[in-house]
Amino acid sequence: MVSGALPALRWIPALCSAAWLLLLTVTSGAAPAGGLQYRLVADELDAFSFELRQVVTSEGSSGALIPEFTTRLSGELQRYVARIFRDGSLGMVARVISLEAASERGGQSRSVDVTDLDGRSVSLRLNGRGELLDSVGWQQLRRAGSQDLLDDVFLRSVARLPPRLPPPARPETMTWRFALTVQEGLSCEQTWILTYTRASGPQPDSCPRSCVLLDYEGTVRETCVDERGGMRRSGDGEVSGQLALAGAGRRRVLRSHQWRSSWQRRIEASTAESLQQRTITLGRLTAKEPSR
Amino acid sequence: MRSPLRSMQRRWGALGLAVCGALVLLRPAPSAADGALGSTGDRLDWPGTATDRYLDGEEITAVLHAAAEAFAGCAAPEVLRDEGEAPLWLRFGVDPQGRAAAGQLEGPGATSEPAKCLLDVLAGLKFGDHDGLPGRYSYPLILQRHEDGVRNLPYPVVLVAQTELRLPLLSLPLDINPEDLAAIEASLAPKQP
Repeated sequence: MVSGALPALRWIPALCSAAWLLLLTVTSGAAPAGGLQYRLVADELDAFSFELRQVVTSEGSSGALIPEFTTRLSGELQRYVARIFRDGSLGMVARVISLEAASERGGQSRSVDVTDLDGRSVSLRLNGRGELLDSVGWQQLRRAGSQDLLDDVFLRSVARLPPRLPPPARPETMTWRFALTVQEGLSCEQTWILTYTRASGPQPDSCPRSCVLLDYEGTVRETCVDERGGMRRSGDGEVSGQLALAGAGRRRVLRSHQWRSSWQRRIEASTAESLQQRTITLGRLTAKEPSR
Repeated sequence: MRSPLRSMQRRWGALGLAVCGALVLLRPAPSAADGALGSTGDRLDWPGTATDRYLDGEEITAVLHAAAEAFAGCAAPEVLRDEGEAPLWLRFGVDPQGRAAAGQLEGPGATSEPAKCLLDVLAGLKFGDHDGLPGRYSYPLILQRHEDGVRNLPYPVVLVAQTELRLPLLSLPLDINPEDLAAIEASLAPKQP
């Protein structure tokens, strides 16, 4: 029997070479290899409803000119993978439609016309873990009057995932830097430190079957510069949230994401004038279509 | 007693396993590790990208250059300038369907009747469709006498006036009125005496 098996050893090099080639092909087409990733399918539209509520208070000599106000924004976010780059990263187009906005000041609420924002899109280049590699379109979004309100909505729809699903009661901490260039001379850099924990609790309505719930919390530090306006901004933020991920294995589908962020920011003009703004944002993204 | 053939097969098998292990270990890192570097051709705003389409100055200039002869055909003494004289300026917007909107002429001879021909040419031009905000473009028409008649010297660029982002690092009410915005700007950057 042993002697019968020996001639088969001759095939080992050939089989191994074939397996190596196969491994090479598979890993070069998928980025990144291994780890927890989003399941994103090319040319398939994902739709999320979103709600955002932001309360802003300002202090400082100029702060008195900006009484506390609350902004509410809701609508639908549509996104799809429009292309797959040669390094395996994804080119995603995300747009917002059916927007409604309201502004509250002094106890009075009134709706705000955001027609110019309706249908605006940004292009995001990212890998499967939600690591943002490049993005364009922010300048047009701001010119249309969004300020930075929609940044959170776009970016949280592809929130950064931990390397793996943390086992229950074993949190996973990760840190990363993130840069956003709006236009030449106007950009922000942020350093995130988040701890992810496997959560238990009621399943969101957007999960027809069981979802994995992933809580996260941590801190963000940022510096921004507006060269044309001669201003700088530095800030510290505390963020927390919950991701609901459907599917099995390492490729998951985002079903909902709710978050809270609290920022303390200091804006300094080149004239040495400054003001402080405290911003508290509550947001929620909920998948509209049933999970595939 | 071992046959030499079987011994050789065993050695080849062991060698094969070693080579196989080395290949797996020496497998190149996934190219995703290149991160944002990728390929130099991989640009998000590469033509054909399925995102919002915004006109840029070069597209506008190309259309105006292609219409140079048509503009020259409008030549009349009122609009012809000698070298060194101030040119006529075409100022216009482009609507989402790519048609010139709110065209105006400014400069010497701009109000003359023949100059209206220039606005008609502009109105007949087709720029690219887009879904950006209406920009405002300015282009100097340099019409000169020439031995063969009149020529329109193509100006290399069109000037684009875009909405400036005001106080982009501040969180402000979406419906802030221009007066309040100006007051905040003034308080952060008071004018020097």
